[in-house]
Amino acid sequence: MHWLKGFAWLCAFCALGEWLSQMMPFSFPGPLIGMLLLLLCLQLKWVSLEKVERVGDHLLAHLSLLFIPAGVGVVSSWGLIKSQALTISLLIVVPTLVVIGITGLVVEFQIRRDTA
Amino acid sequence: MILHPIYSIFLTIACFLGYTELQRKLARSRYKIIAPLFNPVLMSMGTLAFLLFITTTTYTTYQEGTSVLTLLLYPATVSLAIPLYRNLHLLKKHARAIVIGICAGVVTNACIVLILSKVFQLESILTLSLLPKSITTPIGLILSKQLGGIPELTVPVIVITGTVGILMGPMVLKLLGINHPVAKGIALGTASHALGTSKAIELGDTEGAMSGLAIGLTGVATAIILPWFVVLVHEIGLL
Repeated sequence: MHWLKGFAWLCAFCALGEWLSQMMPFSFPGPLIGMLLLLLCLQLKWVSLEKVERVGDHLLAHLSLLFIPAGVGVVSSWGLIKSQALTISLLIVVPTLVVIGITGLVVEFQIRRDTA
Repeated sequence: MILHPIYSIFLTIACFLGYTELQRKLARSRYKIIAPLFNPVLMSMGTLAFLLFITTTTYTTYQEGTSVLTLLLYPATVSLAIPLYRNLHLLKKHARAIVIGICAGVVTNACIVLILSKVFQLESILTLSLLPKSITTPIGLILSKQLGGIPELTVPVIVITGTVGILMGPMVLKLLGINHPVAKGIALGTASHALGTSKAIELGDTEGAMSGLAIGLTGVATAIILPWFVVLVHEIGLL
């Protein structure tokens, strides 16, 4: 029953996040609101880590399984992307490498400045 | 062909487990350099798409069958709060550097995707699908839909982004002389989410923790910055 209680907590934060997301004047993903609220409640000790960590760690460990179904849907838009496949590949590889470089350099530079 | 949902769920899980095992075996063999290319998620997507094609099953049937798995993405995203909470002390210690770094990464990603899309005259619906490519999948799905992209395209794009991070991330870090474990972890997590984090964990404990922390924070930063970025780009008529 332990994991079921943890799962109920996670779903409760999800539902709360979703509800708040619809209340908001601008759009912001519900699950992210849920995540921030759970973080806040963990920090304030309103929810103990043991309650959610077992089921949460399991979900995160198998996260990649959960998005396979959505990805299979790429076949339905294949007609739109097949002529652009090479460009799309380039648009995935180049920004990813630049982002790794820029982010790393900025963090390293800022840490040196903060400690100096 | 009418399929009971359980067939779809079973085949999805079976594919994933099979390919995960294959990748694990490859990683232990002498072909371990190519192991990241055999990403279980991409291999499963390809196999399942092929199965749908040869059995003339529509994607809608499969999608309805596996909706339980997709729905679990929501509580899974909420549980990203757990690694964030565990590493909060590390975040507090380097808060300024981490926040500035992640924001720089998010903005850089958006700008480069836009510039390259313009250079190669990509259709705007494809550009919108590519913009949320560096964040964790459930958030990427929602943002892609919100921005007007194709969520089903964003998912494989996110997974390929992660694979690129695993394969070439450490090389970029070395080339630019980025040595600080915090900088290495944040860079990998910001650019290539959970897959990059798997590489960061191999580099060290601090790198892994930092990368895991960056997943949730990059999600928040992207969800705030990206919609404004798209509005701005629309205003000046670039999209």
